[in-house]
Amino acid sequence: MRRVKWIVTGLLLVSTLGCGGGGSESGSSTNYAGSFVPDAQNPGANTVYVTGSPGTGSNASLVTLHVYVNNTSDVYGASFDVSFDSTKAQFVNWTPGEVLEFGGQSVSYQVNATTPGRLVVGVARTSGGVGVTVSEAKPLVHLTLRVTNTGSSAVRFTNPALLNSQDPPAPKSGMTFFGGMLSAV
Amino acid sequence: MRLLPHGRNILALGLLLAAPASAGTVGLRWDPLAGATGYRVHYGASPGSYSSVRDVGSATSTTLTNLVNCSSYYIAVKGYSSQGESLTYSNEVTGWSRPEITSASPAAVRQGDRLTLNVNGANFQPGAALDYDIVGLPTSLAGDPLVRVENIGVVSCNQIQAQLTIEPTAAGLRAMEVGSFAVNLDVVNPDTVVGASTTQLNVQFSESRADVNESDAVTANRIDGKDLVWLAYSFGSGEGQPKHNSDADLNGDGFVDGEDLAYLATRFGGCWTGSAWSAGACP
Repeated sequence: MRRVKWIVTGLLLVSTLGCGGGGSESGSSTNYAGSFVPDAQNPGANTVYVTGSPGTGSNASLVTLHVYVNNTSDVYGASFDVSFDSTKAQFVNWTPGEVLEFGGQSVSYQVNATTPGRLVVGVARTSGGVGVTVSEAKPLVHLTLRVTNTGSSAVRFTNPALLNSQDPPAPKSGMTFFGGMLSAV
Repeated sequence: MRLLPHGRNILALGLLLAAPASAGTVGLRWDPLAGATGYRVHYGASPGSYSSVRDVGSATSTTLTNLVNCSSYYIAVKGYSSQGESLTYSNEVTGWSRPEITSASPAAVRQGDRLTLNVNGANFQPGAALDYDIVGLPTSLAGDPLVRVENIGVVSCNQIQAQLTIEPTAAGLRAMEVGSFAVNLDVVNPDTVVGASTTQLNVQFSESRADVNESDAVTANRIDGKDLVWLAYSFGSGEGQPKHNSDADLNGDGFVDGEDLAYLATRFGGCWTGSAWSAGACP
């Protein structure tokens, strides 16, 4: 009975985590319009890159950053920090991607935004120990920021790694990570 | 008649120290003396010098009460009848009041702790032993308590200290399971008189265990995505099963499951500052 309870608890948690997260930095209402220019438009295989979608209308200050994994094999999870200028933008929320969910796999997401200007992100499959082969660019996670001041802010990966499905998972070699530039007017 | 101390026989009048109820007490019993209709217990602070006497009637056992803790008492018994009191005493027994444990601390420990357990009470003689019995451990830990009590020493007649080790937090080792269990303590004085008590230990989660891949120097002292991936890789596994990683079993229950994920999630993004885990990310 005890074991069953634990399993149920775990599934509920994963499900909750998979539904996307609330932000930890509340944004003030502004009239800034945000935009995002990727460092690489089509970086090719074995890359992780970011594209951006600005909001419209009353959400013009919001920019959703789409973190893509592009053409690589045996991805079990990802670990990275995303840094940006906390005087120019703040974290709002995140939503799950789809690359690791391929095949109906359960995925756990963690996004910590306690430190302004830095997101600590972790994404991992929680079932099976099998990695996914990504044959085209697929989103890993979506991070929404709100621009809070005019100007530009570099969005950079730090401590980035895609991890494979070996035991224990190890960073995949040969991966390149591309950020971009977040701007507000 | 033999007067025997509790837990041992002393020949002559056959007096024993029996098991008294609490500190400040000495229990006695003795063999009957032929022809005696009653008994008087004589006791004092010096050998052969008895400043107090208690008539216990025809009983052949009694408990002396209101004795001073941590003090030696010398005790002998005489029988009496209608013809008067016996000329000689029984054998003399000596000892302290029964040891009594009133408290033990701390009540809360953490996985991997090594700390001093203080056992407080009275009448702990030099050379007293501390026996312990850990009970109520989860079934998964039966025979493998992962708790050690060692270096037991009598600090004073009111305190015994012991080194308590809650195993472990080192990489590759299974942690003590988070939860509560009882530790039965027995203080056994050199005169074999025993005092017993039970204390409760509540093992709490150690944040340092959330750094699952602590062997990775690049992300040492960070709880980040790599830790999540390592835990997730073992998710659903039990001890001894393929892909099981004891480092990912954060609560030490033998399974990597939702509870472990929850523990990691609450510490995710944290950074070791040198003395504690901060909520914010490492610089």
